[in-house]
Amino acid sequence: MSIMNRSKFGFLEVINILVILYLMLPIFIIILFSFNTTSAAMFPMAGLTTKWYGEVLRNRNFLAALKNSVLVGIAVSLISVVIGSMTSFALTRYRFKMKTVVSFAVLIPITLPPIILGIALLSFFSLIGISRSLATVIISHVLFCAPFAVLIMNSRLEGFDISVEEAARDLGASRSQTFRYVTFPLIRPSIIGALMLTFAISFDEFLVTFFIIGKKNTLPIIIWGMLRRGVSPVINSIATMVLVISMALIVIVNRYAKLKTLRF
Amino acid sequence: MKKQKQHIYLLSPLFTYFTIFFFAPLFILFIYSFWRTTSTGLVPTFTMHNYLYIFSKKLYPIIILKSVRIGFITAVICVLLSYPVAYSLTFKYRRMQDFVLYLILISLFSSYLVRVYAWKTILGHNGLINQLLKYIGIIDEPLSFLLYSPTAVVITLVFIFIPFTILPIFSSLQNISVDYIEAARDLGANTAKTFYKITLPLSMPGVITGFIFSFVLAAGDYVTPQMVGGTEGLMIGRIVQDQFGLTYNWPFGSALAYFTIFLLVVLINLFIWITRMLKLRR
Repeated sequence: MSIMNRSKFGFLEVINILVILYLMLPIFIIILFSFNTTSAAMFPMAGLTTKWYGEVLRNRNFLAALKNSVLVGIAVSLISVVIGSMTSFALTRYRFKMKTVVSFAVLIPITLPPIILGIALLSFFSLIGISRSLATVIISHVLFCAPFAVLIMNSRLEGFDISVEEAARDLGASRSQTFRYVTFPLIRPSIIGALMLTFAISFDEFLVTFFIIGKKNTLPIIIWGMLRRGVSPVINSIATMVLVISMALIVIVNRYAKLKTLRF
Repeated sequence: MKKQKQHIYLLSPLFTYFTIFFFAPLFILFIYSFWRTTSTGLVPTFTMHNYLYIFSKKLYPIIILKSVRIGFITAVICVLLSYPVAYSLTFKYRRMQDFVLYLILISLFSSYLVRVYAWKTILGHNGLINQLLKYIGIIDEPLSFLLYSPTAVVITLVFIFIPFTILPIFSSLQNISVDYIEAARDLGANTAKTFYKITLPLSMPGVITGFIFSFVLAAGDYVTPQMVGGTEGLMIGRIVQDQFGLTYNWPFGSALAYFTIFLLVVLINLFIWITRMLKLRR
């Protein structure tokens, strides 16, 4: 750290602390008020309770939406990771023309405002006569989850030592044996990480889903409905549960695949 | 690196999928923007009417410009706040790196709706800021301009999209070899000059990626203006959505969407051109 040897408290430190507070305080406030006895977010808090959580867990709409979100998330993560890993293998192991164009094209869906993807898919599904359902939601989520699967797999496969595969082949293993006993175990952590991350993104997605949701709702759609109806005491507790689920997923993802090594 | 055709097989599932469910829908949306709506439904034709209609009422250009301006301000603030954070995580507080990045990732991937809603509780009439100010005694009546204003929209959008700028900037700073910086210092450049001539240009790709992400996503955001913007903070996302829900004028909605994208692409290229003119890039 020879370049920055001044350790005095200055501009950088102030900015850092402010940004971290800015990022963390709102999340902290939501969690705190989910335990508030009165419905309004008033300081000082009247007391601590878990009654709102009980109310949420007895709510049928919430439970049905939770189940739908989990189903969608599982399907999306499986499809995204399979096609994403294949793409990543192609991008990291083969030399071909237009590689930069191809690796950029993979990321386009996540640079587009979700509302545009939403209306485009709505137009598309109505034009070809596919009715809106959880299946259309799954189809749409893969579009912005697969790029993240590619990014995670890239960060693993770029540093992958191909000589271990060659050694296996030299020792008489078939292609599929090499994949099953050598390659797969080595990339398994990243695959688990990619599954979890794509699940988390799908679980949280609202705007695209909003345009193409059928009769069955996902959790963010239910939450949006509540938020529009105004402040309800259960919103904070639903919000906290959703936050805790996403946070837990991210903590697990980071254990398997270091998210900071992603190259956008 | 192998030189076979095998990559085609590996790439085809994703690209087939993207072609059918991404590029085709975007193309259909584009085609729709030249159609007409009548009382009986959509009429396939080729007309520029929808694009011209954008300029027929003051409302649409004003909202589009406002959205672009809010997106731009958000992106600039995001970059200005992110750079010092990414810089100190890379060069000064390496030990804190994992912990801080963890917080940023948690913020990035935890519920988007909930994070926007949190600002409503903070900025609202009976929100935490007003309560705090009243408690300290700075104000008697709650400040009403906090919520339902373009300022509230920007505060919330920066909060939502700042991880999109911190991460690419951090990632590009990671690639800078400390040797370059030391070499510049050894050759007599001071801290400011080293930063301007070496660090900043080498980290520019990250700045540009982050800028594009936050600019486009903020300008096209739908939830934030709805939740904390009020009538003053109305943005293009809502207008586009209305064409697909309320008024059922899909062709006009498509034209609005494509016109906005076109404008964003032009502005992004302008931004990249400016950074090149200022010799901020190597």
